[in-house]
Amino acid sequence: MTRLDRLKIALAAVLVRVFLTLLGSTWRWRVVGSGEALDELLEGSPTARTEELRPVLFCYWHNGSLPMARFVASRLLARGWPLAILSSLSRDGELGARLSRAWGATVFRGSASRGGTSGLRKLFRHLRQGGSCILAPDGPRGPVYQVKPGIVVLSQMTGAPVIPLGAAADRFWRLRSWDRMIVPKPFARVWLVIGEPEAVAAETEMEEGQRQVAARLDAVAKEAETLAETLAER
Amino acid sequence: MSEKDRPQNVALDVLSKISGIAEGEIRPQMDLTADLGIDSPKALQLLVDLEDRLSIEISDDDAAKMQTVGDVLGYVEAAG
Repeated sequence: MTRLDRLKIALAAVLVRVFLTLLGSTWRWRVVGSGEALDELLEGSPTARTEELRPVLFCYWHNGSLPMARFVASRLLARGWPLAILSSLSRDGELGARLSRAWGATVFRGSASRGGTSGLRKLFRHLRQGGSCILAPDGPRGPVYQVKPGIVVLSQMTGAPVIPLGAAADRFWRLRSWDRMIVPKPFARVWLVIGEPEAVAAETEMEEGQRQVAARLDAVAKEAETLAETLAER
Repeated sequence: MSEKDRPQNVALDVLSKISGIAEGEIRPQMDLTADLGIDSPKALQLLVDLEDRLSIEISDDDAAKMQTVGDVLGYVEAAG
Protein backbone atom coordinates (compact mmCIF):
# COMPACT_ATOMS: atom_id res chain seq x y z
CA MET A 1 0.00 0.00 0.00
CA THR A 2 1.46 3.36 -1.02
CA ARG A 3 1.66 6.47 1.15
CA LEU A 4 -1.12 8.03 -0.95
CA ASP A 5 -3.33 4.97 -0.35
CA ARG A 6 -2.80 5.26 3.38
CA LEU A 7 -3.62 8.96 3.26
CA LYS A 8 -6.83 8.26 1.34
CA ILE A 9 -7.86 5.59 3.83
CA ALA A 10 -7.08 7.87 6.78
CA LEU A 11 -9.23 10.58 5.23
CA ALA A 12 -12.02 8.12 4.46
CA ALA A 13 -11.92 6.88 8.06
CA VAL A 14 -12.41 10.41 9.37
CA LEU A 15 -15.28 11.05 6.96
CA VAL A 16 -17.00 7.75 7.71
CA ARG A 17 -16.58 8.33 11.43
CA VAL A 18 -18.12 11.80 11.23
CA PHE A 19 -20.90 10.54 8.96
CA LEU A 20 -21.70 7.59 11.20
CA THR A 21 -21.57 9.69 14.35
CA LEU A 22 -23.91 12.29 12.88
CA LEU A 23 -26.29 9.78 11.32
CA GLY A 24 -26.16 7.47 14.33
CA SER A 25 -26.95 10.27 16.74
CA THR A 26 -30.36 10.61 15.08
CA TRP A 27 -31.25 6.93 15.48
CA ARG A 28 -33.66 6.05 18.22
CA TRP A 29 -32.51 2.86 19.89
CA ARG A 30 -34.71 0.10 21.22
CA VAL A 31 -32.59 -2.50 22.94
CA VAL A 32 -34.21 -5.83 23.71
CA GLY A 33 -32.78 -8.70 25.68
CA SER A 34 -33.35 -10.66 28.79
CA GLY A 35 -31.64 -11.46 32.04
CA GLU A 36 -27.96 -11.49 32.57
CA ALA A 37 -26.80 -10.46 29.11
CA LEU A 38 -28.87 -7.32 29.06
CA ASP A 39 -27.89 -6.35 32.59
CA GLU A 40 -24.22 -6.89 31.88
CA LEU A 41 -24.34 -4.82 28.74
CA LEU A 42 -26.42 -1.90 29.83
CA GLU A 43 -26.14 -1.50 33.57
CA GLY A 44 -23.43 -0.37 35.95
CA SER A 45 -20.28 1.64 35.53
CA PRO A 46 -17.43 0.09 33.59
CA THR A 47 -14.75 0.82 36.16
CA ALA A 48 -16.72 -0.84 38.93
CA ARG A 49 -17.43 -3.82 36.74
CA THR A 50 -14.00 -4.36 35.28
CA GLU A 51 -13.06 -7.05 37.76
CA GLU A 52 -16.40 -8.78 37.31
CA LEU A 53 -16.20 -8.88 33.56
CA ARG A 54 -15.75 -12.25 31.98
CA PRO A 55 -14.63 -12.75 28.43
CA VAL A 56 -17.50 -12.93 25.99
CA LEU A 57 -17.74 -13.31 22.23
CA PHE A 58 -20.23 -10.92 20.71
CA CYS A 59 -21.25 -11.70 17.16
CA TYR A 60 -23.58 -10.36 14.50
CA TRP A 61 -24.27 -10.88 10.82
CA HIS A 62 -21.99 -8.68 8.72
CA ASN A 63 -24.84 -6.79 7.04
CA GLY A 64 -25.69 -5.21 10.41
CA SER A 65 -22.19 -3.74 10.75
CA LEU A 66 -23.17 -0.06 10.66
CA PRO A 67 -25.81 -0.02 13.42
CA MET A 68 -23.66 -2.50 15.32
CA ALA A 69 -20.60 -0.23 15.08
CA ARG A 70 -22.62 2.64 16.48
CA PHE A 71 -24.03 0.50 19.29
CA VAL A 72 -20.65 -0.94 20.20
CA ALA A 73 -18.95 2.47 20.15
CA SER A 74 -21.58 4.28 22.20
CA ARG A 75 -22.75 1.54 24.57
CA LEU A 76 -19.82 -0.81 25.04
CA LEU A 77 -16.51 0.89 24.22
CA ALA A 78 -17.64 4.16 25.74
CA ARG A 79 -18.34 2.27 28.97
CA GLY A 80 -14.91 0.76 29.05
CA TRP A 81 -15.52 -2.75 27.73
CA PRO A 82 -12.13 -4.26 26.78
CA LEU A 83 -13.31 -5.24 23.32
CA ALA A 84 -11.13 -6.50 20.50
CA ILE A 85 -12.02 -6.83 16.86
CA LEU A 86 -10.33 -8.63 14.03
CA SER A 87 -9.84 -6.63 10.88
CA SER A 88 -8.73 -8.12 7.58
CA LEU A 89 -5.50 -7.08 5.90
CA SER A 90 -7.40 -5.58 2.94
CA ARG A 91 -8.06 -1.87 2.33
CA ASP A 92 -11.57 -2.26 3.73
CA GLY A 93 -9.99 -3.87 6.75
CA GLU A 94 -7.62 -0.92 7.15
CA LEU A 95 -10.59 1.44 7.14
CA GLY A 96 -12.41 -0.65 9.72
CA ALA A 97 -9.27 -0.87 11.83
CA ARG A 98 -8.80 2.90 11.89
CA LEU A 99 -12.44 3.48 12.82
CA SER A 100 -12.38 0.87 15.55
CA ARG A 101 -9.16 2.19 17.07
CA ALA A 102 -10.61 5.70 17.11
CA TRP A 103 -13.57 4.36 19.08
CA GLY A 104 -11.29 2.67 21.59
CA ALA A 105 -11.31 -0.95 20.45
CA THR A 106 -8.26 -3.17 20.43
CA VAL A 107 -7.66 -4.09 16.80
CA PHE A 108 -5.93 -7.21 15.56
CA ARG A 109 -5.22 -7.64 11.87
CA GLY A 110 -5.72 -10.97 10.15
CA SER A 111 -8.30 -13.63 9.48
CA ALA A 112 -10.42 -15.90 11.66
CA SER A 113 -11.79 -18.00 8.86
CA ARG A 114 -9.73 -21.09 9.66
CA GLY A 115 -8.64 -22.71 12.88
CA GLY A 116 -5.27 -21.51 14.09
CA THR A 117 -4.79 -18.46 11.88
CA SER A 118 -2.65 -15.69 13.32
CA GLY A 119 -5.72 -13.48 13.76
CA LEU A 120 -7.45 -16.17 15.72
CA ARG A 121 -4.39 -16.70 17.88
CA LYS A 122 -4.37 -13.00 18.79
CA LEU A 123 -8.05 -13.10 19.74
CA PHE A 124 -7.47 -16.29 21.72
CA ARG A 125 -4.76 -14.61 23.79
CA HIS A 126 -6.95 -11.54 24.28
CA LEU A 127 -9.80 -13.70 25.60
CA ARG A 128 -7.44 -15.68 27.79
CA GLN A 129 -6.34 -12.42 29.41
CA GLY A 130 -9.94 -11.49 30.23
CA GLY A 131 -10.77 -9.32 27.23
CA SER A 132 -13.85 -9.76 25.05
CA CYS A 133 -14.23 -9.84 21.27
CA ILE A 134 -16.81 -8.92 18.70
CA LEU A 135 -16.93 -10.71 15.36
CA ALA A 136 -19.05 -10.93 12.25
CA PRO A 137 -18.67 -14.67 11.58
CA ASP A 138 -19.75 -14.37 7.92
CA GLY A 139 -17.24 -11.60 7.24
CA PRO A 140 -15.18 -10.15 5.82
CA ARG A 141 -16.29 -11.42 2.39
CA GLY A 142 -19.05 -13.95 2.94
CA PRO A 143 -20.79 -16.08 1.92
CA VAL A 144 -23.54 -14.20 3.69
CA TYR A 145 -25.06 -15.88 6.76
CA GLN A 146 -22.45 -18.65 6.82
CA VAL A 147 -20.55 -18.95 10.08
CA LYS A 148 -16.85 -19.65 9.65
CA PRO A 149 -15.02 -21.84 12.16
CA GLY A 150 -13.20 -19.07 14.03
CA ILE A 151 -15.87 -18.14 16.55
CA VAL A 152 -16.63 -21.80 17.30
CA VAL A 153 -12.96 -22.53 17.92
CA LEU A 154 -12.56 -19.52 20.20
CA SER A 155 -15.61 -20.39 22.28
CA GLN A 156 -14.60 -24.02 22.58
CA MET A 157 -11.02 -23.27 23.54
CA THR A 158 -11.71 -20.49 26.05
CA GLY A 159 -15.20 -21.36 27.28
CA ALA A 160 -16.22 -17.79 26.47
CA PRO A 161 -19.97 -17.57 25.89
CA VAL A 162 -21.22 -16.42 22.49
CA ILE A 163 -23.70 -13.53 22.68
CA PRO A 164 -25.51 -13.04 19.36
CA LEU A 165 -26.62 -9.53 18.48
CA GLY A 166 -29.27 -8.73 15.88
CA ALA A 167 -30.04 -5.28 14.47
CA ALA A 168 -32.84 -3.98 12.26
CA ALA A 169 -34.39 -0.59 11.49
CA ASP A 170 -37.87 0.52 10.56
CA ARG A 171 -36.47 2.64 7.72
CA PHE A 172 -33.20 1.89 6.00
CA TRP A 173 -31.22 1.81 2.78
CA ARG A 174 -29.81 -1.47 1.58
CA LEU A 175 -26.41 -1.33 -0.13
CA ARG A 176 -25.49 -3.47 -3.14
CA SER A 177 -22.60 -5.05 -1.28
CA TRP A 178 -22.04 -8.83 -1.01
CA ASP A 179 -23.93 -8.88 2.29
CA ARG A 180 -26.65 -6.37 1.31
CA MET A 181 -25.62 -4.16 4.24
CA ILE A 182 -28.30 -2.02 5.84
CA VAL A 183 -27.93 1.69 6.58
CA PRO A 184 -30.69 2.96 8.87
CA LYS A 185 -32.09 6.26 7.61
CA PRO A 186 -31.92 9.45 9.68
CA PHE A 187 -34.24 9.29 12.71
CA ALA A 188 -34.99 5.61 12.10
CA ARG A 189 -35.91 3.43 15.03
CA VAL A 190 -33.17 0.84 15.38
CA TRP A 191 -33.89 -2.39 17.21
CA LEU A 192 -31.05 -4.27 18.77
CA VAL A 193 -31.78 -7.74 20.11
CA ILE A 194 -29.28 -9.28 22.52
CA GLY A 195 -29.32 -13.07 22.73
CA GLU A 196 -28.47 -15.15 25.76
CA PRO A 197 -24.80 -15.96 26.44
CA GLU A 198 -23.97 -19.59 25.68
CA ALA A 199 -20.62 -21.21 24.95
CA VAL A 200 -20.14 -23.82 22.25
CA ALA A 201 -19.47 -27.07 24.10
CA ALA A 202 -15.92 -28.37 23.68
CA GLU A 203 -17.11 -31.75 22.36
CA THR A 204 -19.36 -30.23 19.67
CA GLU A 205 -18.34 -31.10 16.10
CA MET A 206 -17.26 -28.09 14.05
CA GLU A 207 -20.15 -28.16 11.58
CA GLU A 208 -22.67 -28.54 14.38
CA GLY A 209 -21.05 -25.65 16.26
CA GLN A 210 -21.25 -23.47 13.15
CA ARG A 211 -24.89 -24.46 12.71
CA GLN A 212 -25.70 -23.61 16.34
CA VAL A 213 -24.12 -20.15 16.14
CA ALA A 214 -25.84 -19.45 12.81
CA ALA A 215 -29.22 -20.49 14.22
CA ARG A 216 -28.78 -18.21 17.23
CA LEU A 217 -27.74 -15.31 14.98
CA ASP A 218 -30.71 -15.94 12.70
CA ALA A 219 -33.04 -15.92 15.70
CA VAL A 220 -31.96 -12.52 17.05
CA ALA A 221 -31.80 -11.02 13.53
CA LYS A 222 -35.32 -12.28 12.81
CA GLU A 223 -36.61 -10.96 16.13
CA ALA A 224 -35.10 -7.53 15.42
CA GLU A 225 -36.63 -7.49 11.91
CA THR A 226 -40.03 -8.51 13.22
CA LEU A 227 -39.97 -5.79 15.86
CA ALA A 228 -38.91 -3.19 13.30
CA GLU A 229 -41.59 -4.26 10.79
CA THR A 230 -44.31 -4.38 13.43
CA LEU A 231 -43.44 -0.91 14.54
CA ALA A 232 -43.29 0.42 10.99
CA GLU A 233 -46.84 -0.81 10.35
CA ARG A 234 -48.22 1.22 13.26
CA MET B 1 20.09 -25.29 26.42
CA SER B 2 19.06 -28.52 28.12
CA GLU B 3 17.87 -31.50 26.09
CA LYS B 4 14.23 -30.99 27.02
CA ASP B 5 14.40 -27.31 26.00
CA ARG B 6 15.47 -28.12 22.48
CA PRO B 7 12.81 -26.86 20.05
CA GLN B 8 12.02 -30.33 18.71
CA ASN B 9 11.57 -31.76 22.20
CA VAL B 10 9.37 -28.82 23.22
CA ALA B 11 7.27 -29.41 20.09
CA LEU B 12 6.98 -33.11 20.88
CA ASP B 13 5.88 -32.28 24.42
CA VAL B 14 3.24 -29.88 23.08
CA LEU B 15 2.03 -32.40 20.50
CA SER B 16 1.83 -35.10 23.15
CA LYS B 17 -0.15 -32.97 25.59
CA ILE B 18 -2.60 -31.81 22.95
CA SER B 19 -3.13 -35.18 21.29
CA GLY B 20 -2.97 -37.31 24.43
CA ILE B 21 -0.47 -39.62 22.71
CA ALA B 22 2.78 -40.43 24.52
CA GLU B 23 5.86 -38.72 23.11
CA GLY B 24 7.53 -42.05 22.46
CA GLU B 25 4.70 -43.12 20.18
CA ILE B 26 4.71 -40.00 18.03
CA ARG B 27 6.44 -40.48 14.69
CA PRO B 28 7.51 -37.80 12.16
CA GLN B 29 5.37 -39.26 9.38
CA MET B 30 2.17 -39.08 11.44
CA ASP B 31 -0.53 -36.81 10.07
CA LEU B 32 -1.59 -34.14 12.55
CA THR B 33 -5.29 -34.52 11.82
CA ALA B 34 -5.72 -38.15 10.89
CA ASP B 35 -3.23 -39.70 13.32
CA LEU B 36 -3.03 -37.21 16.19
CA GLY B 37 -6.65 -36.01 16.05
CA ILE B 38 -5.63 -32.36 15.91
CA ASP B 39 -8.77 -30.60 14.71
CA SER B 40 -9.30 -26.83 14.37
CA PRO B 41 -9.54 -26.05 18.12
CA LYS B 42 -6.50 -28.19 18.89
CA ALA B 43 -4.61 -26.61 15.97
CA LEU B 44 -5.16 -23.23 17.58
CA GLN B 45 -3.87 -24.54 20.91
CA LEU B 46 -0.88 -26.18 19.20
CA LEU B 47 0.21 -23.01 17.45
CA VAL B 48 -0.33 -20.80 20.51
CA ASP B 49 1.63 -23.20 22.72
CA LEU B 50 4.48 -23.45 20.22
CA GLU B 51 4.66 -19.67 19.90
CA ASP B 52 4.53 -19.13 23.66
CA ARG B 53 7.01 -21.79 24.65
CA LEU B 54 9.50 -21.18 21.88
CA SER B 55 9.07 -17.39 21.67
CA ILE B 56 8.46 -17.53 17.95
CA GLU B 57 5.76 -16.18 15.64
CA ILE B 58 4.31 -18.59 13.11
CA SER B 59 2.90 -17.05 9.94
CA ASP B 60 -0.39 -18.26 8.43
CA ASP B 61 1.50 -19.57 5.40
CA ASP B 62 3.89 -21.61 7.55
CA ALA B 63 1.03 -22.88 9.73
CA ALA B 64 -0.87 -24.05 6.65
CA LYS B 65 2.15 -26.11 5.56
CA MET B 66 2.22 -28.11 8.79
CA GLN B 67 0.47 -31.34 7.88
CA THR B 68 2.61 -33.91 9.67
CA VAL B 69 4.63 -34.18 12.86
CA GLY B 70 7.77 -33.96 10.73
CA ASP B 71 6.60 -30.65 9.30
CA VAL B 72 6.20 -29.26 12.82
CA LEU B 73 9.56 -30.58 14.01
CA GLY B 74 11.33 -29.29 10.91
CA TYR B 75 9.75 -25.89 11.28
CA VAL B 76 10.62 -25.39 14.96
CA GLU B 77 14.15 -26.63 14.42
CA ALA B 78 14.65 -24.07 11.64
CA ALA B 79 12.89 -21.31 13.60
CA GLY B 80 14.72 -22.04 16.84
